[in-house]
Amino acid sequence: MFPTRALLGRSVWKGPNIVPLALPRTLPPPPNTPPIRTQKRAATILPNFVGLRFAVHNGKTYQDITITEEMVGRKLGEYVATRKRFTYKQSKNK
Amino acid sequence: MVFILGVNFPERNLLKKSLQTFFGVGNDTSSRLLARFNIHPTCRVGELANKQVLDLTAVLSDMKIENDLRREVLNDIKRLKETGTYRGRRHALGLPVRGQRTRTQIKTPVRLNRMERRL
Amino acid sequence: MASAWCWSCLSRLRPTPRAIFPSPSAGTRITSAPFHSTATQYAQPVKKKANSLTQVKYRQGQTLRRKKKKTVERSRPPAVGERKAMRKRIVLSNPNALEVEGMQDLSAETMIDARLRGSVLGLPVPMLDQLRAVQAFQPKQGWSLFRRPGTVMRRDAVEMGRLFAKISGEGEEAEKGQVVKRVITGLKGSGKTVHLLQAMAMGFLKNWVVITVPDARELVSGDTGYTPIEGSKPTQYIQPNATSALLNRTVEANREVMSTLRVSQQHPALKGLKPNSTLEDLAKLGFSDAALSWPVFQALWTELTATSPAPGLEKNFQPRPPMVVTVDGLAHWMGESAYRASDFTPVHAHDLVFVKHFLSLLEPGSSLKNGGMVLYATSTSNSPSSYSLEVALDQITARQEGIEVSSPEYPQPEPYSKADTRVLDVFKPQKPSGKEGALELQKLGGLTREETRGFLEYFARSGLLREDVNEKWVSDKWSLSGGGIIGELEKAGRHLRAPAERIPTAEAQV
Repeated sequence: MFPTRALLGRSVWKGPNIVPLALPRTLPPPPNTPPIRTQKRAATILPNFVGLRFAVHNGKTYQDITITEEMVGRKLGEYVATRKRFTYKQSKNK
Repeated sequence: MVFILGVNFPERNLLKKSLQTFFGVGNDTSSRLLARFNIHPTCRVGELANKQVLDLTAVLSDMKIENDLRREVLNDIKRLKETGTYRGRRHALGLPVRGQRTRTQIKTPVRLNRMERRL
Repeated sequence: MASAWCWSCLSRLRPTPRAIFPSPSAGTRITSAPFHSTATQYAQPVKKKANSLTQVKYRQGQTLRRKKKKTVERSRPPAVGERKAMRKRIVLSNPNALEVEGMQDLSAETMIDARLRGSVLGLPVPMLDQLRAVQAFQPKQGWSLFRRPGTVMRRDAVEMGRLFAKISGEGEEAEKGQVVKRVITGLKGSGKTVHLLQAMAMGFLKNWVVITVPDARELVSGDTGYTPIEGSKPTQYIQPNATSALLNRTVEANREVMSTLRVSQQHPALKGLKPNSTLEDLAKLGFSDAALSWPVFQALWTELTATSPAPGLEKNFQPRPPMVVTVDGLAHWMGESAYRASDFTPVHAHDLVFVKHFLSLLEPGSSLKNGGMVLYATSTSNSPSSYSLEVALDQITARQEGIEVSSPEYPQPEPYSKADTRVLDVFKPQKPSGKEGALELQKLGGLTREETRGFLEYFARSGLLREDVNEKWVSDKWSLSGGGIIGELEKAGRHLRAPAERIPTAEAQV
């Protein structure tokens, strides 16, 4: 019996994947807080991230996400899609 | 007919299989339940003593089964959707959630994964 | 070939397209050079167009669509327990078989008579009910072939008969109250269960008390209820229904003996027991109330093994008869059972008090105080594998051969094997003390050629075998049956072969 399937993804003894993100010491107060740009999609969201804004790389551009309490323990990349939804475009020159 | 957790079971049915008709009680849980009350694995529902029925009902009512469990699972999926995770999006789109290929053979997620998911 | 081709005026004809030619087989192919010798002439004929049925269209289901068969109206399934009853049904008589003339019954005289070795002795008819009650007969033993059930007196049976006489205190070398403990092994079909049956029959003849466990597997396969004994450590389990069935069997079979014996010990655990009641009444207490069956069985056991009465109850006491205790399928008891403890760990078979009680009879200081026999059979072919049991049986064999326990030849479990010490302890070495013999291992093999002959002649005389039973034929069958394995001999014997010219007569169609 497993306590939760979530633990199966990664060995427990490794602990969460804590990536040293360059968090600024002091952030300017909102509304003009700059998002933290990062490409480290596999970084686990730690409790002290809550409320920050991250600009996470999706392979092409950086997308902003705001961390909420529910996201703690998950990875940054989970909230930024890397794929575009397929849409059919009518081409003009047949 | 014997009432276990409000459900009526015919007396000639196997107790182990009868317990498995509850959502959230499978092979392992039902075997463990039987062992806990020292009921042999091939016991029929009709062979149960009154006390054993009460014991089973008491334990089952403490467990998270049937509608409680369904609600929990649905809430989990809903949370995934609301926080905007990749998994939540796949649930909403009716596509496989755990990285399976989508070129062929995705009938199950097409059938089950939808905005208003039912279990 | 009647051709559309005009042979006289080839030049005026244009070559016909190949496609309309009938498909050319070897003889019809045109070999002469045609007017226009073009390559098309020799090209492969055009393939026949595929049948519309076999042709598969793109993106179309390829499964063959058939009309579903109409569901057949089924009659109701058999009632609960009916199939099992059919499976366990035992037919002891075949009215079409011939009566064997001059067939003797098993009796106190015939069972020790060495001259009757190899002949088939009938089981006395009044005893059949008793034998049925202790489930001595098994469904696949071929009792339904003959007019009446009988068993062949092989060497082991005669020897056992002598032991019975000896323990009952008859004959010259009488040793009343002796206890013989045996584990019987042998190949599949070598007659272990029938050997037990003979023991039961002899026990009934001598008015012993017969207690049997006809199928050891039933007690560990998790098919009967179990309840833990409060406060026991490690937790022991009672099997109330199985015990109740055992009491039932014992009373049914031994009613004659048990109704004459009276309770002579104090049983404070049994409130409903009236003073001066018979052992039959005592056992009956356990029938109705399954929860009470184990205390009742224990009380019955102390009564049966009592050597002297408790103070105050002397007037009821009669000497207790010896007992036969048989268990068939001992290997099933040598491991973990299908039951689970409340923490879901498997229950060891020796933690079931029923099993433990019968196994304790093998240990020294036996509880058969009035003498008797303990016969436990296990198969070497078809039984659950238990490494510890194998080692334990090897150890018994070694002890019988006179190998000292301390000597290096004495078989020991492999050092890194996980031998079950509880199993080894059951068969641990024991000094023969007083009237109690050491634990023996009896290996049942095949019949000898003479016994084989007697057995096959019985088939012939019952009209099952139309064959000249002579030396050569018997020897043939003896070899084919793996050296006289009786189950294989029975297959040879029941193989009815009637010569062709005899078939139409009424006599041959028996």
